[in-house]
Amino acid sequence: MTSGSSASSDAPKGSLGRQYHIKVAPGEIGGVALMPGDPFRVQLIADKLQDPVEVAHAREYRTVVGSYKGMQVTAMSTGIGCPSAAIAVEELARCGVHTFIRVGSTAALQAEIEVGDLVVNTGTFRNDGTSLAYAPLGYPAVPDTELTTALTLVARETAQSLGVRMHVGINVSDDAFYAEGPEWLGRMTALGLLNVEMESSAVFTIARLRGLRAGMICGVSGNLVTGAAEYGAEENPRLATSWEHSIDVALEAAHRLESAA
Amino acid sequence: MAELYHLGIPTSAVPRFAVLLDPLLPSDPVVTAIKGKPLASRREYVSHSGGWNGHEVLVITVGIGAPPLAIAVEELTRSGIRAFVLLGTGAFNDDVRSPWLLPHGAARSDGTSAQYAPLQFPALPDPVLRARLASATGGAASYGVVETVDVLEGCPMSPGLAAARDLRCAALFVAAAARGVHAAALLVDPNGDEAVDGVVRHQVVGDMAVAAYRSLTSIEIGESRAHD
Repeated sequence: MTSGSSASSDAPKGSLGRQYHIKVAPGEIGGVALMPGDPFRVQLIADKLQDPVEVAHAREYRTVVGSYKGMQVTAMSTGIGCPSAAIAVEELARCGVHTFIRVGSTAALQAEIEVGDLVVNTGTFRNDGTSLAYAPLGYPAVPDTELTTALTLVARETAQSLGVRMHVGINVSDDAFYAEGPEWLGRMTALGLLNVEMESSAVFTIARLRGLRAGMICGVSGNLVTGAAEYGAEENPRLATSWEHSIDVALEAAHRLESAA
Repeated sequence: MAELYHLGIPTSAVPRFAVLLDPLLPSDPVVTAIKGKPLASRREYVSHSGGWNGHEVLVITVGIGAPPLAIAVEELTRSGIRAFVLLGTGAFNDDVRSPWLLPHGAARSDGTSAQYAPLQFPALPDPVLRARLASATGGAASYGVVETVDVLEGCPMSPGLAAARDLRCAALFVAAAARGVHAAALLVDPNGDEAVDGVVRHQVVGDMAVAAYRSLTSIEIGESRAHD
């Protein structure tokens, strides 16, 4: 938990010291961050970077920096859920991160989306509590347009060259993984939402409010309409492959944006 | 071997009692008190199992916020845990004089508990487990209502309504009620007198752990369920 309250008295907003929860200080990381939920998946990103170095590992936040085609990249896990993802975004922003790409796992809400597919999200239905502490529900949780366009283009190229499927659309962020009843899930499916995960509502909302870029690409871990699949590389090799694809797409999309800038 | 989906714990290794540990608190004194052995480490969940007075007990760190806590409660309940004590942190109001706060209710300003039950449903700890926890602390804890929020920073405390704010209690109490298991919480303020530089002293956390183990292993499972 936090004691973010304690954090707020010790390290007020805008503080540029070593951050209270993530234990990272400005100057230690670059401006582009890839964020999986699971700290153990940070290694998948580190394995794709040149000269990866672990900067910190505190609680659910594991932070590694390295480079991709000359671009400095930070990989940091957010932990599960919007409360910890919000802390991740806030504290990374204070360390200089301006571009946040969530590379997550997600469950599909439409029958035609299969395990291992890629999903790029263009907006989030805000069924979380965290974003509400930042902005009323009328405020849209939308990712950065340029970043999302880059993610979509690269994901489409990747999908075509590797023979995998990708989807683009709106998702929902939820706070209670096991309280998603069939009635609620049915409503989300009927609204045309593609997928459910637990962090993008806070990531998109906070990045917008702070004037920063955020986007998301996920691998599909299961399908809640047709029946779920197991988590984990051994149990679910198609999911593990889609994690790799989502990271490759995120790195390449960020590189194109940064090169164009 | 079957493992819990997010927690990575072998389902065969799950006992009836669990301590849910705020990762802001040092885990050493909590694990040492039961001579705990590592059970699993997946995502933000680090689990140990050990023994207290002949009872098997599990300790698990639960990450930040209510979403990962609710996942832990769900997966552990499905595998046999029947009673939970959360050892957590909170931001206490200045008028809380004791080292610890024992919530006798939670204001539901979080998103997670709302997905379990409408806001009219009260977020309450199990009364028997709470009372045993009070005895086990030797009366050193204050009672009070805690407001559970999803964002602590920058949110002003509602004056007079709650003794403290935290990130978990409401979700714990409502999820436990929804699944018919016992739950209570004992909170400490990492910015209070029990802490040095934001780190709660090991002795204090050790005392909290002992209170948690004594209360957990003293209850009859199901004894406070009115409809049982």
